[in-house]
Amino acid sequence: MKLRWEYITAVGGLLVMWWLLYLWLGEQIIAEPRATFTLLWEELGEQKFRAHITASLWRILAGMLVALAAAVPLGLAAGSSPRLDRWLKPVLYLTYPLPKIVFLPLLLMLMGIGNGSKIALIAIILFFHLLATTRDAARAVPPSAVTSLRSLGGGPWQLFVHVYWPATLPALFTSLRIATGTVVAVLFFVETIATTKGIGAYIYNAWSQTNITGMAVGIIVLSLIGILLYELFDLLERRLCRWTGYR
Amino acid sequence: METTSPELLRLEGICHSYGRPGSEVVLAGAGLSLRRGESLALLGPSGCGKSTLLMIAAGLLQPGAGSASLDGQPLLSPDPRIALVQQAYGLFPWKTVHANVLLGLQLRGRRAGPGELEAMLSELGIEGKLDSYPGQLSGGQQQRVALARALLLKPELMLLDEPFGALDSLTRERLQELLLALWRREGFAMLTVTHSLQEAAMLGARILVMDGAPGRIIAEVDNIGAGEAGYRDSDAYIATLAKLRLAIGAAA
Repeated sequence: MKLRWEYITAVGGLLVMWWLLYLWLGEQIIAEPRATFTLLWEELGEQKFRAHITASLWRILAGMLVALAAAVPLGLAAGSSPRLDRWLKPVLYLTYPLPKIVFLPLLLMLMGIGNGSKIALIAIILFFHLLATTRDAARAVPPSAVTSLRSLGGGPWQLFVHVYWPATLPALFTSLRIATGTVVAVLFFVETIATTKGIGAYIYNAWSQTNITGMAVGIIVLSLIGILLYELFDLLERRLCRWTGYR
Repeated sequence: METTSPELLRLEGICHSYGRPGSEVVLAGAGLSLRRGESLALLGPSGCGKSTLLMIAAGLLQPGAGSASLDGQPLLSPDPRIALVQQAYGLFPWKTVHANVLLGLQLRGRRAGPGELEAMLSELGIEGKLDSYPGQLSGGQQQRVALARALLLKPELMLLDEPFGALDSLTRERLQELLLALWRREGFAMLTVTHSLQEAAMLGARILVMDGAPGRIIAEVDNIGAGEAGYRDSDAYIATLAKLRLAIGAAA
């Protein structure tokens, strides 16, 4: 993460807003900032709290990996093959707008209340984001690039490696960044159901005990997970797609 | 001119239409033949099917009817002896100049000889650009990179699709001269597709004039002396331009 002045100023601004809200609405609703950071510091020293963080991170990363592994090859294949796309398009258009989160009860029945159903829901929601993006980006690859590679003697596999994959990578990172907010929201939702592990469960638990400071600690950690992911995708894109600065 | 050299490329009775049968016919019985080391230009208006004919000559497209052959063998897929240079340069924006230039050799399991890459880049005036991305280069520089990539393949046949159409006239003239110098030295055959009379007269010792809807060849103009140094300032060049105008006027 780049600790630039702009970043520090933004964090400072948010803290001031929090403080003003606390003064306005009172400690029954808004946690006192200093007490929150003190508790956060104490909790970070606790093995039990760190296990909550690990559980959440694992669910997110596993869900993302499953979604990437399923969506990217399918999206690239559909985007580069009009024949396959003819079949995939109606399926995608019918299923993309569905609120996938309502399938959680079904997943719970199918996969039980363990990590599997939670990871599956995150993966399903992300899968559709990534599939739609990768397909569209692959369709937008200029025909001259395909002609060029074929004329140089490249076959279908080389087309994926040298053309479709690098050409769609920037769109993939944009999609991942946009989906980060949704993924963290879904994580919170699945962790409030039938689990004791995870930052979502921690927040839910604090809420049920009207522990306002504990809730705030959980919210901060969940937000930090979101920021961490966002910055991670930003960093990876800058590393892997240096050329996008010169388009 | 190399009038006795053997035939390299032959396209015969090429008919083609895109999409389903009955859709608009792009080419109706077009054909040409090109000898080793010869330079041929295909001149025609936009949409007359000349680029389609070039794609067929590159082995990238199979014609609906007619035949394409290279060195007497049917041309069914892209051939390692052919290099293609496109109007939009055909470079990969996500690869550096270095990776772009070497990709052709890499895909064909070959390597550049020692010092060969450096010599080629310096001849084309793009040394020192190896780590740049195409987006950082001017149009002229990008076309030089595309030429370097094609030349490193040591092709017997160079296909050029409106190669300098997107460049300003000064850069265009400079690159035409550079290409002709390389052609004289390397001895590859060259087929250039263009809608520019000047470019056809500069790059083709023989010029085929095409007409569209459906595409066919309507005239052939000999342009003896094209490709020699200083040809642009010769009377022969001016005379060829007049002949081309006449051929196009007769079709209109």
